[in-house]
Amino acid sequence: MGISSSLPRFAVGLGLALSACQGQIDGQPPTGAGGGAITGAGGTATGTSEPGVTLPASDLSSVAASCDPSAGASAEFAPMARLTRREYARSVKDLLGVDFAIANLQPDGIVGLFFANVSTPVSEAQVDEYRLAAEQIAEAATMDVAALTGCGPETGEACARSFVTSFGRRAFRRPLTTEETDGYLAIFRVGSGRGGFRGGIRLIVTGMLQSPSFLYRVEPSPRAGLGPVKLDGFELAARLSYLITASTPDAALLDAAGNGGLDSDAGLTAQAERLLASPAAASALGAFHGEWLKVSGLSEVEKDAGLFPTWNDELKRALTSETEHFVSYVLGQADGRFATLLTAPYSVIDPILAPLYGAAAPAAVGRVDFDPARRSGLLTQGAFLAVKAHDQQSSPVRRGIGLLQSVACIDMPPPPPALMVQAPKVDVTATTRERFAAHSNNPTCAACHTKIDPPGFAFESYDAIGQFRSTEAGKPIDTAVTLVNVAPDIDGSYPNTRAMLEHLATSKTAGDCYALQWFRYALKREPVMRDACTLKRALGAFQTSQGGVKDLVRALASADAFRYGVKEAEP
Amino acid sequence: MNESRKAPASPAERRYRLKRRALLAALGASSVGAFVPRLGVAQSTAPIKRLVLVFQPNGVIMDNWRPAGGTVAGAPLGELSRSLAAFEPVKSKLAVVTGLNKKSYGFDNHQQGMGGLWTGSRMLSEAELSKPAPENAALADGASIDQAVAQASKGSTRFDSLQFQVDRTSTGGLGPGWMTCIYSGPAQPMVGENSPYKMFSRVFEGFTAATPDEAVQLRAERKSVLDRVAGELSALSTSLGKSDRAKLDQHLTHVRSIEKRLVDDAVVGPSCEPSALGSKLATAKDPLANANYPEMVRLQTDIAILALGCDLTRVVSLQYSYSVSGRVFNWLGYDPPKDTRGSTDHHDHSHDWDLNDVSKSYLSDIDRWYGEQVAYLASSLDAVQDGDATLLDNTCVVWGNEIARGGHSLDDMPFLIAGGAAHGMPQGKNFDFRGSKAMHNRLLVSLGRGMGLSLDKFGTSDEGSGGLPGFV
Repeated sequence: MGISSSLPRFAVGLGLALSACQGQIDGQPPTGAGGGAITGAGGTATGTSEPGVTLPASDLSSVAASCDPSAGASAEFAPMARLTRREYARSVKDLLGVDFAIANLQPDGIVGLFFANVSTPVSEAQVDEYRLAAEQIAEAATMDVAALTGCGPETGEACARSFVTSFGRRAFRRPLTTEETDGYLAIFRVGSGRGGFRGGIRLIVTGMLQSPSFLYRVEPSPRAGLGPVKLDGFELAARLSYLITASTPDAALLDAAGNGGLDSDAGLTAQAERLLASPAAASALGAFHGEWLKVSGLSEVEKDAGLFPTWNDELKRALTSETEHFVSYVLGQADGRFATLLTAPYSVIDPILAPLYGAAAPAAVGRVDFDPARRSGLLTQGAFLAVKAHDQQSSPVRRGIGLLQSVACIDMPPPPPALMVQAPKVDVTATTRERFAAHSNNPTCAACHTKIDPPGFAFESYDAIGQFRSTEAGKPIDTAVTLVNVAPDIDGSYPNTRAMLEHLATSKTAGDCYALQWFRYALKREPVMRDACTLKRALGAFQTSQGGVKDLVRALASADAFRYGVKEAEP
Repeated sequence: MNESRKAPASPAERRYRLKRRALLAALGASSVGAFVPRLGVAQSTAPIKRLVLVFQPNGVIMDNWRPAGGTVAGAPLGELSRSLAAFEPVKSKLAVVTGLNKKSYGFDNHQQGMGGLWTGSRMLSEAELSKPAPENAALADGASIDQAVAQASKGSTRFDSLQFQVDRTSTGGLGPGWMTCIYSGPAQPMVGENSPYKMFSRVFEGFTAATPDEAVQLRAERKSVLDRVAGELSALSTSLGKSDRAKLDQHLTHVRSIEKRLVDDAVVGPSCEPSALGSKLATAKDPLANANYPEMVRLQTDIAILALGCDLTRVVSLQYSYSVSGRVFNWLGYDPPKDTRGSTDHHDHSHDWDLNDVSKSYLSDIDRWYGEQVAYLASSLDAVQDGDATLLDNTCVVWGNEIARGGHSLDDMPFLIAGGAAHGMPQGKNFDFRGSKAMHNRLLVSLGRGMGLSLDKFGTSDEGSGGLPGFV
């Protein structure tokens, strides 16, 4: 039995009284953490990275305050990332116009709540998957080889060379070396043996899609120096593009990377601005929020067909799209604020979701306004409510843990070993809240569940697929809750769901946590002490804009941790 | 662990053997009888031995599973039980083994049962894993027996081993420790392939080349690409730091091994033809839909049988669903009953196994259905001639479960071994080890020994020694 090693840090940072649950924490304290005190290099530039001590969300502001701008840029070693399945599929689509189903690749690793492949090496089966995928994609992409290459009927090696140069630059997100160009031309000649020009082009694409320069986000620049090294334009362009659009840089971004256009704050910010306004950003930002709330597994969620006959793949797809449509609307057409994501009394839905929400169906995907007493933002939408529920009943525990983890950055340990974890049986004479009361009556459970269950009970007016209900088992639903031991600025009593979410949405805890989540997503690691100035920039922009999501993302993208790299410390 | 290593056959030997070890196209047809029983040359040397591990989740109803009359010494197997009825055609080649225990080490029994099933090792907790891990992330502390075998015979066939899964391989809530039972080493779960469509194209790649010229061209193309990728990986690796370099070096190892398989060793037996099975796979269905579950189980099993018959691999794991699986068995000929919770799913019912006869009967029918799948596998292998014996005689098929029964204990685990005469597995015997306190590690040792490993213990937490009494 143990818990993730990040928990003690959060626990200490938030001053939680874990009482009985404390006994479960047998993880080693983080190296040098000194009982939760933050150590590590300050804002100064040092030779190579030191083992970073990660920071709890509640300490972000005080760390940010320690930023010393005169000390120069500072950065931390960032492990090389392999593309996630979504990044792979979107890159393939943007490069070649080919649709690729992510189910063809094995699931991604995870950093915090987000998909990221930074630690585990690939397996042989995965390398095989990449190979088969590359062969199939190249076949599809070269059906109309003239359109792909721009070469006329008179084709030959000269045209192949120009394709290698131009397509290679996009696929590898940087210009090719002479050795690479020659190497892929040699591959072209082998491929021409079958199917002539098309066969040759097809084999070039097959090869490039298996290249480490495509599959990995390679950043060699930091190896060149002792201290923090500014990433070159192409490395930065790739970071920016995968952060905002979850895909490969477009032509304009590559051009900017090549002509020094990303070297200045103004140039970088202008590109970030441009990308944030693009359609690609809309769906990528929606996907961020899906991962943040851990609703990306919705397609695999099954419900009791007898109780929820409308639950089917079409409905699940519509709920997944709702997250994207809603986020895109708030960030593009509404005020763009984090608080609105958590409180909006409206959503943007597919007509088939209208019955689930008890709303009049829009003609096409569009905004519908709800009774503010019934819906407020992402946590009251079907995706979150259905994923965080059982197949027949709601789950105050899953919803409570989900809220703590995603919105307050508090990880909860798994239940003690050998405890049979089963939801209480459905009892037609009692409400869910009554049945889960056993948690607070049993001291073993109560240690953690007095913290978990109240925020979960606030969502009891939604059933297992997120439909609103005002009664259960013939009794009125009670959503009044008192939060305890979560965070000082959140603890307290709330008469209903909306009151709780409105308070959360503007709380410092939730705001700092949201910024922390973006940091993890952007950099695929936890923040450390030397990220002080990066955090200051991000939190500052977030606060100044009163919780502007795009302001936060833009600030992160122009901060030191994003623009600089440090090589890995080696003995 | 002591592993006996034998030098792998030279490529030329392998090529010869593969070409001769043929399985006819009819293998893909649905009935077992369609297997053409003619595989391989008359063997002057010892037969080639294979190992197949099959997993079923959520325990069994032992009252209807255990055949009567078993003993510690192994009694002749008499009348088959309700859940094992489908094994009648291969009854003389079975060893039913009940009464072995697993240890929980304080973990959830599903979780420890899953990770410990073929590894014989305890789970490592998240704290011990000392790396950021998803929730419920305990992982087993050692390799599974099939992987110990595969590692010892590396390079003998196109694939050292194949991992088949049916159903999800990841969920939002359950970590990999709940979702897979095969490990290449401590804390290294090997997630299997759950799509028969992808599995088929990977395993039988190259078998569909229309002409020999085309096959030669395809090999040349792959070689040029894989050489290029390998070169880029090594060049790039030198420009990176330690941990990043390790990732690329690992990637490079895999590229080399794939290249060896596809280019240097691309032997496609002209008469080992997977085309009939391939045509059954032409139209893809959703591998995860509940309604498609029986079909996916059958397709994955057929691919495994064919891969063994073609000698593309000698070590296979077939994992049907995963621990706490919630499959709803709509195909048993009646509407699935509801348990006390109102649920129709397998795991929910398994908690009610002793509460009512409805659950007990439904669960027994589920066990029988899984038994039919394993019996199909065994009978299919038995229909293929392999030298002087059948492929089943030269294959040890082992059927196991992560927990014992609905009560979720790890005592009195159900195991069934089919075939494996060549391995020295008892034939037509009924073992009941209740009361002997024997751990299932003893069985794992016997499985390894049967495949040629020198073992006395297996699993990092093995507290005993030796094989199972009456076994090798």
